[in-house]
Amino acid sequence: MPSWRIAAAVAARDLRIEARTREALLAMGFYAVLVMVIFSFAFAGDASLTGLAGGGLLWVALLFAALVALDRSFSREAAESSWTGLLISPAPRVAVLAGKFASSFVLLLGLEALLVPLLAVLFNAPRSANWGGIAVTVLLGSWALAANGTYFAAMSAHARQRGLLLPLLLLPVSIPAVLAMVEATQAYLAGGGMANYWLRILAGYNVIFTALGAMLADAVLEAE
Amino acid sequence: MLSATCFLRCSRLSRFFGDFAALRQVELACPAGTLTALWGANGAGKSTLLRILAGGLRPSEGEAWIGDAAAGTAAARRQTGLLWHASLLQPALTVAENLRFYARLYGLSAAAAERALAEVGGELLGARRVGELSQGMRQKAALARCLVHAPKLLLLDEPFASLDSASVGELQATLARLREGGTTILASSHQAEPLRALADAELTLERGRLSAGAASHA
Amino acid sequence: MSGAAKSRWFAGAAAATLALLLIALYWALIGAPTEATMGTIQRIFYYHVPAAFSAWVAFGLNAAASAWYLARRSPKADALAVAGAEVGLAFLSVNLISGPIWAHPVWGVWWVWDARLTLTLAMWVMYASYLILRQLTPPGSLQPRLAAALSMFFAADIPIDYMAIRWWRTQHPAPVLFGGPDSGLAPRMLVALLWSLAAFLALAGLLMWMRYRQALAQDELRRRRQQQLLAQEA
Repeated sequence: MPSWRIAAAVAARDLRIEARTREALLAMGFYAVLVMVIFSFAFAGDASLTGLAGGGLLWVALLFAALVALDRSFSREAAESSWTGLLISPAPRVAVLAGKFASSFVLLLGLEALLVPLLAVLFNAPRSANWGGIAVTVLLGSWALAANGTYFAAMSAHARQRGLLLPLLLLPVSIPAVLAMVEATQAYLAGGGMANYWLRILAGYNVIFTALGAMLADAVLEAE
Repeated sequence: MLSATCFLRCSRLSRFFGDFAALRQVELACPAGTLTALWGANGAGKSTLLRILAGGLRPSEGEAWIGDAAAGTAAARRQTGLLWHASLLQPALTVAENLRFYARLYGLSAAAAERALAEVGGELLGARRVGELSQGMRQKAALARCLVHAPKLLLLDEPFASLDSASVGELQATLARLREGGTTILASSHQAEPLRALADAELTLERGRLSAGAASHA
Repeated sequence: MSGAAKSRWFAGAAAATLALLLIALYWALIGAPTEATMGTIQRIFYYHVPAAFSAWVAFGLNAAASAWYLARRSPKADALAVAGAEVGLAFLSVNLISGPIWAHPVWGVWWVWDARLTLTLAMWVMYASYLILRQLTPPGSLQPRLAAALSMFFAADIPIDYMAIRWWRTQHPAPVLFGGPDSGLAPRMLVALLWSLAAFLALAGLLMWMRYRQALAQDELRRRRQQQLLAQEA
């Protein structure tokens, strides 16, 4: 029973449900647009601010979107108690977690494919920006958010007030990653700087925390 | 009691939810290929017992065994199917998509899903979305879900609740057929009739404790 | 150790801790000389630094106990973990509050996002979330397990945090508020600091011990209650 097959099945199922209901995507899109509108007030048409704070803008929007996607990933299982179906199966917990991670990751990437160009246009991103670098940053950053986010979403699924607990658990642990994401994006937007160093931190972070989440998967998905 | 050779065994099984004792030192021994009825009022602990046997809950104390494997281990899960009062199926997906997912989850091919659907006589349901199905059809789809991996132990929580008489007959026939095939069945209910006709043995749970049943195992 | 012996031990430890605290208080307020540039306010240093140190020791114990719990599922491990987290958070709060009290009259700002402060704030939120997680999950096998896993994430995160934030700060320098204990302390100041350190560590140890025993007692109480429930007729 190859684990990756199970993970793929879980991811495919989640994405298929999302394609039919579009609940997560709509909420993610809504929050992203909301953040953009509010920032547009703050920037008040000053294009140079994108060079200074564009990184922050992008990642605030993506963080909100990620929290929605992650929460949905597990709250979706409340329908017809389908979570019980996953729990009582012999499928390795790591595989189920990996599948959930993959579906959240894909949803995030889907949103980003729309959001990044949109932001670039609406906020007049500087011409000298390194878009290849930004693409890599977005990829690595989404991985970081989706990986830890899936783990903590599974953890908070056991608790009361799940909606409070997920961001509370995720955000402090994500600080080095978020710092790296924002700084790298900023550096690439401004066309220079120490972006490579930040990307290395982000990549290292992903390796460490993906491994840690995989190792501790059983702790968070065991029966009560 | 034939404890050592029974397929399904529990010993001093207890479960607490905070201060509430849902199960108190339950002892159980069901031989293979038999159907045991589990009676009890609402809140007596039937669902809790079934969840523990299925591996969805850990006992606070005691042990449960399915064949050679302890309940909750992967080996035990592979042999156990659970029919719950909820269907455990995603409403936005079709029956076939749901079943194929479960086949994958248990490491089987899509053929296992088709076979399970045929076994319950639900071929026509395959392309229907679970969310659109009536209660009886959803139950049938859920039963197919439990049978995808051909479990040796089938646990059913109130299987006859809210079924019309035709569906009741169908379910009885299916369960009898499964039992003939060697499946061990433990079914809970708080309504007597459809289950009583099938049962080889009966047990009653009262506030978490098992009291003596009517008929005994052969 | 018998109950009576434990109580005597505890009384002795409490008395020793109190003595240390009084000695440290003397040294902090009187024994140590007044600092040349900052004046009397600098004396907060003798509480600010040992509070941080004690917090780190407590959190370190939490991490070790959590790893132990994940390996062995021991109730003692879990009790130690929760004791370490709670006491650590309390001392870190002292650290976080005393800092701005010092900073404001000396530097004119309550807060800057320098490496050390940012990390400290992040750690505070982490361990607060740990305690909230414990609060929101039912006791039994679930709560200690989830909490222990979370603690492992912190243990992996904090070193990376420190590295990343330090690098960030070299990119965006900010005034470093506290010179740190190694920036040339007068001998009498060092003595005051060491007494404070000893006193704080003793206090932290005492509080952790109390919390540890309380957690074990709570666990035992729950176990006995369950036995009682099982024994009584339905």
